[in-house]
Amino acid sequence: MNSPGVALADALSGQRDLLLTCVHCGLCLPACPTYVRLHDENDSPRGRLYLMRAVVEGRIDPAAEAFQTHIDRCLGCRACEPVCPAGVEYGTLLEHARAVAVTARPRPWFIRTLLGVFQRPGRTRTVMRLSRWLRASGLAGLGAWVFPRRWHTLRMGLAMLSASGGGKLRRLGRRRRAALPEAPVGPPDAYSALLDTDEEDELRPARVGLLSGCVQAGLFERVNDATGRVLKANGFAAVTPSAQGCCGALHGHAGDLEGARALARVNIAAFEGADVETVVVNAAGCGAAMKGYAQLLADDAEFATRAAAMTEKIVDISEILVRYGMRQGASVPARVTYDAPCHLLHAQGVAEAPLEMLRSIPQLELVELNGSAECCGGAGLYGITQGELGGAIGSDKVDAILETKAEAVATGNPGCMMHIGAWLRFRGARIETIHPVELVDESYRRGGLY
Amino acid sequence: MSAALSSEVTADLRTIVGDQWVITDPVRLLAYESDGLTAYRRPPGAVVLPADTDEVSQVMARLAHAEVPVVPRGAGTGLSGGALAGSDAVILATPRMNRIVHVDPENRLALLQPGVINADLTEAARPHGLYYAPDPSSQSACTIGGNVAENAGGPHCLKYGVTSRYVTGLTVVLYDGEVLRLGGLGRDSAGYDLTGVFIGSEGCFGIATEIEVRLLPIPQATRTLLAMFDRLEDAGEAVSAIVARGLLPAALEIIDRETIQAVEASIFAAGYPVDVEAALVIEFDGIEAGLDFEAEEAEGCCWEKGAREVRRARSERERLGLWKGRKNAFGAFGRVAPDLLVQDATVPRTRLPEVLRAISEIGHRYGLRLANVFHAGDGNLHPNILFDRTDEDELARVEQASREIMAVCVAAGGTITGEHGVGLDKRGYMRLVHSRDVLEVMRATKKAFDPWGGMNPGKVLP
Amino acid sequence: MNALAAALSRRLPEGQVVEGFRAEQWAVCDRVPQAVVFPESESEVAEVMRLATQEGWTVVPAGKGTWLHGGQPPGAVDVVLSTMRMDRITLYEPGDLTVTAEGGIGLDLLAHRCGEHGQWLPLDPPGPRKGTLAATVSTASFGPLAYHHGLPKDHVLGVSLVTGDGRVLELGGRVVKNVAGFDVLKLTIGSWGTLGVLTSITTRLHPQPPADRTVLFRGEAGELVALARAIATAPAPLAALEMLLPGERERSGGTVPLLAVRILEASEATDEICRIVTDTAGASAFRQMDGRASAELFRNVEALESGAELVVRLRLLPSQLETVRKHADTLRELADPDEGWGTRLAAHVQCGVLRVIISRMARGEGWIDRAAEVIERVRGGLEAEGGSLTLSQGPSGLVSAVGAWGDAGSAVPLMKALKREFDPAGVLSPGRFSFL
Ligand SMILES: Cc1cc2nc3c(=O)[nH]c(=O)nc-3n(C[C@H](O)[C@H](O)[C@@H](O)COP(=O)(O)OP(=O)(O)OC[C@H]3O[C@@H](n4cnc5c(N)ncnc54)[C@H](O)[C@@H]3O)c2cc1C
Ligand SMILES: Cc1cc2nc3c(=O)[nH]c(=O)nc-3n(C[C@H](O)[C@H](O)[C@H](O)COP(=O)(O)OP(=O)(O)OC[C@H]3O[C@@H](n4cnc5c(N)ncnc54)[C@H](O)[C@@H]3O)c2cc1C
Ligand code: SF4
Ligand code: SF4
Repeated sequence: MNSPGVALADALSGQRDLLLTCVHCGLCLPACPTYVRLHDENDSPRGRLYLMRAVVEGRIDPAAEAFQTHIDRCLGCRACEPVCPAGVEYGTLLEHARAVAVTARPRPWFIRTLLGVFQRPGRTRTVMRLSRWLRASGLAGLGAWVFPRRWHTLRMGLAMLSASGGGKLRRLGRRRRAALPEAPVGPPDAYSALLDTDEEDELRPARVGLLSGCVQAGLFERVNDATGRVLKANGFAAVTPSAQGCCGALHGHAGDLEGARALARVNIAAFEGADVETVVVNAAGCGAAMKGYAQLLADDAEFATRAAAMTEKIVDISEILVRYGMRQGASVPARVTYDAPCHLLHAQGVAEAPLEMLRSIPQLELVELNGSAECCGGAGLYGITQGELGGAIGSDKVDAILETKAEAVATGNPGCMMHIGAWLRFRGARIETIHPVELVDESYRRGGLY
Repeated sequence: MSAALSSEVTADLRTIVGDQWVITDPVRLLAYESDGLTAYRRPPGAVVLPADTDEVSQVMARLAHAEVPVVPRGAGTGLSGGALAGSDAVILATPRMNRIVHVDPENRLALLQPGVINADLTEAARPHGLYYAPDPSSQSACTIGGNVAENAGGPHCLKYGVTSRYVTGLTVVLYDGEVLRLGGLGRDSAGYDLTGVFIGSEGCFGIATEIEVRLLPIPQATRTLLAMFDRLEDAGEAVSAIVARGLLPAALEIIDRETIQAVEASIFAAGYPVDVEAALVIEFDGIEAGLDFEAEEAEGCCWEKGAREVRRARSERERLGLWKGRKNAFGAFGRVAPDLLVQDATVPRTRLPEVLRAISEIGHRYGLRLANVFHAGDGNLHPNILFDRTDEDELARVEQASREIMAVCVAAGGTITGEHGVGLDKRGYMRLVHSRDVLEVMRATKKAFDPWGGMNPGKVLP
Repeated sequence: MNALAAALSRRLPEGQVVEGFRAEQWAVCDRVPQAVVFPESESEVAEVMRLATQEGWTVVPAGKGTWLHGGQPPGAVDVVLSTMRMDRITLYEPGDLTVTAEGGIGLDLLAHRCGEHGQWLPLDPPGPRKGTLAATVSTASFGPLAYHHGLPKDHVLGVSLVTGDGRVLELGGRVVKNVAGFDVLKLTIGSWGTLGVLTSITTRLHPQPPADRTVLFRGEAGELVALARAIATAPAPLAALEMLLPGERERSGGTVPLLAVRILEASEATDEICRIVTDTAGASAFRQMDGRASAELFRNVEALESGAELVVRLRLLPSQLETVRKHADTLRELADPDEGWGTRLAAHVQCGVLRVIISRMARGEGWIDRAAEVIERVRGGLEAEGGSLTLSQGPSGLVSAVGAWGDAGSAVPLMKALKREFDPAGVLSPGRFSFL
């Protein structure tokens, strides 16, 4: 084939070896939320990998409608990775495929604008300020409510914005509180745990870095604040280097690899400057992206080793708390369910830590969510770009949440919080969407730990 | 036959199943050009995704009228190229037909559409204390329709038997759209066992659109052992010793050194020692009382035959750990070599040691990397040949070696395929095991179901 | 010697052809063959079949001939071909848990030889143990053990079949897993001698169970049905679950209705299963039999049909056992209340099969027609619910009138095509399946 596509395929060609490890066994099909709903093998991991391979082999043009559509429709949830017996690194391949896809056919203006915003901290701050104003004024919620369904992009965007507003944490579980005896506030068992660590245990870091993130800092400041307080209560001093920026996840997922790399370099430098051995992240998507810096910058002569070192430092907030043992707060006798963010569960392989963290809260009733391991359909900008499918997936998620009869759903990723929140709103359900660490924070607050 | 697939026909298909359920874009057809065996690639003319028996019947009638061949496809995990269609044919895929019509705990039956995933059935039966016994290693993805078509087995069919033992009734759509109801547990069917002969027909007779299966009560308890051996033959001997002692394990699986190394190098490292020549997984299940005794007897057999180490699972977690190496073997090869050819010959169990020796000798002679992972209790071998397709000389040696391996197995009283089916891949070996007369009868049997020759043409028969 | 017998004797070794009065005992449903042949090898069988196809003689394959009257009476019987002299074990490798034997081997002989190695073939069809393996496979006969241990189709790995025109087909193989090509073997199992003569059979074997126990419950029929249904869903491996309701005249002799639960597992497990069974039943067992006594009981179950004039097999889903029993009760009127045992009912509870075993039918003006009418009514009722009624054995006139089996429906043309392939001249047991 002699089309411009062949040249573009270079980005993927570098990944030929990774692609070849796919033995085409098909075991990943049922794990994929898009295949399960669309039933088209092109919308399965195996099918998408095959399309990528076809691009590498020069059999198809990456500008082809089919390649664009199916690569676009991938949630990037990476549910296909843990089930793959060959260990295909799907997430990495997807980013390269997206890069090829966008070069072949640029993204629509609003996506480009959005990515552009996150590229520069100044712009990010401005937009976030505007967003907060929209949210606070109630205009976002109103818009999401009154705009017609066919204005999906706008309506969804506003609903998500409105949903980021935060829950009424203080009221959680109050109704039932009287019925239950107050649990004693435990000793800071983190310190006792410190005494009986066996030799293999790493030394407990005193100072940790904290990624503030772009959306997280802009719209979920309360989560960052809660994270800081909880870390402090457990004896970690958190520093947030001001030179840091957006982690680059959105850019990577959207195929803007260069943009992602630029941001990665900024962050690596920023945290190196902060002189910390551990960088705590409370947004699953950012954590996954940063754990992927080594891959992303593998071919960068200057940054390759630095990126690899950085990758080693990244931990999710739940991981650090559970690893070193955490203090106990007062009871929060609320019925809560947990939805596992894909980028925590599948991409980072962190399954138990958030649950353990929640279980440490006295009298919190943690109910299992059916299909917790499945993507909520938010997937970064997916809820906005793939309205229909994202909607179907989001709607299934909401059904499962409603089934649990929980007062709140906890999930550790801003995108998921907003997407699930938006769908709960569309349904008129009064269920709070919160970050698990907020619950810990609330429990500490009630226990008078600060 | 094989008139070209006209746009008129595809337009009609769209009317029957709905626009979005027909795929004709050549780029989108690529995803369907292979199944679990990538050695064969051929994109179909179109893919149709019907929703139920009625739509299947209409689709088939339309295609039969236009003389367009049909190839059924489930999850495409088949390992013999069975679900491939040429550009003049249409793939009829079943993923939309994924409804469990009902689970009937009183009769220990379930009624399913063919696209139901094997593991999903077991999941649905679990609340009733039941499960579906045939458990191909691909069970998390493969469909019951595909299992029926291949008469799939699995690690536990040593004790429990293969798919045909559990399928009690079928609804089948023939090429001309006729709907046949066969069998059913609640009745004695008059005449020949058409349900039985349909199972294993690899999509060449018709499409199974509803399947009635038997469920079993979940065994009360299991005991799982993993024995390490310094010689592959010793592991084989241990298998014979266990059987000779009158024990009937639920599973007896062997993984050789090459496989262990591949697994241990993968992300699914299971903690098997990489310097042993073979690992034998032994599992017993049933009533708790007495299982320990059986496990000890089996362990004794292993020591007797020179085991270096025997591990016993103490919890469900440990059990899964012991199985891990076995279950992830196939995929792990993907990291070791670009291409993989998995064979599936079966030999009488007592001939295992000598056949294994012969296979390894063949591998040496042709300078090929061979990895063995197999259902030892059933004598079902899976020699995997690891190679690189772009090396033409190697490819030629792979083909030569395959043929010799088949010949050795057949000479030992075995057969060319135990569970993966003939498909496209093993047609060339059919004459090794069947006389002309038998092949003729098979041809006639297909013809009885499909006088038009429109179902999955070019498969199975040489 | 008649011409046919003479022609056959010229082709076969001395002593393999019998005619005249000695052929009478091989009558198939009152049809006396012109000759009975006893070939001793597969090639001799093939020779007979080639000749038969050439001459257009009809042939009914047989084993020991104990049940030639079972099923639909064939239209014509020129030759009965018995494989009873082909009774050798040709390949037995205990380590493989498989055995290959000639078709005419008796189940008793096979059991004996395998028993020497602690192995067995868990098949317990009705009738005497001397019945042949080929006949059992050909009629797909099964007994109480089938639900748990498998039907003949689950045991048989391969066969040699001589077709109507004398082709020798080796179908399947001798390995336990085999998907090399279409599973034509399955067509021969339950083909009732209409597709070919089975000359050799390879089956799976199992290790003999270390313990044999039967737990008996007693009660009235209705109670036993409820009990049976409960036990059938117990989470334990039960080798057999039989409901045995004696005939009216046996009852008055003191025989009680029984539910027999058989357990064939290791001894430790047996105790545990017993406990599960009694717990599920919520009733205590009336008796427990171990070892030989347990085996003996089930041997008697195999013989329940011996001497019966009419055996009707009713089948619905296991959960519908009570409905089946009601249907069965309406058949009681066919029995002569003063002869033999009256009407016995015996059910394989887990399969939903209930056999109505009538000692002697009530006679009188138009009795066949009346019986036919009753049976057809019951059949209609069962079929309407998705079940079936089969006449296992009965007076030829009756079986011909109602048909041994129900309707084969739209599959008939397909079956006809298959029959033509195996038996182009249509000489094998013509009419055994009335719809072909
Ligand atoms: C009293 C009695 C009741 C029975 N009731 C039942 C019943 O209810 N259900 C049931 O399924 N079985 C029943 N059987 C049959 C029995 O279980 C077995 O089929 C077996 O015991 C018959 O053995 P045989 O060698 O005497 O067979 P035969 O009487 O010689 O033959 C039985 C049938 O098998 C066919 N056959 C025999 N040999 C071959 C061969 N080599 N190749 C092809 N076909 C062959 C014959 O054509 C005939 O149709 C009954 C048997 C008896 C004696
Ligand atoms: C990692 C791995 C492990 C495996 N392990 C085992 C194992 O342990 N045991 C085993 O037996 N197999 C195994 N297999 C092979 C494969 O999974 C089985 O053959 C399976 O039954 C195929 O099911 P499928 O839904 O993927 O069918 P497909 O691959 O889609 O189709 C297989 C064949 O069935 C036909 N077919 C599909 N659906 C229907 C239908 N509804 N009606 C009629 N025909 C139909 C197709 O035409 C084709 O010929 C394994 C495969 C892989 C990749
Ligand atoms: S599970 Fe892995 S190896 Fe198998 S098809 Fe999917 S990506 Fe490829
Ligand atoms: S990342 Fe998620 S949506 Fe994309 S292919 Fe994998 S499982 Fe499917």
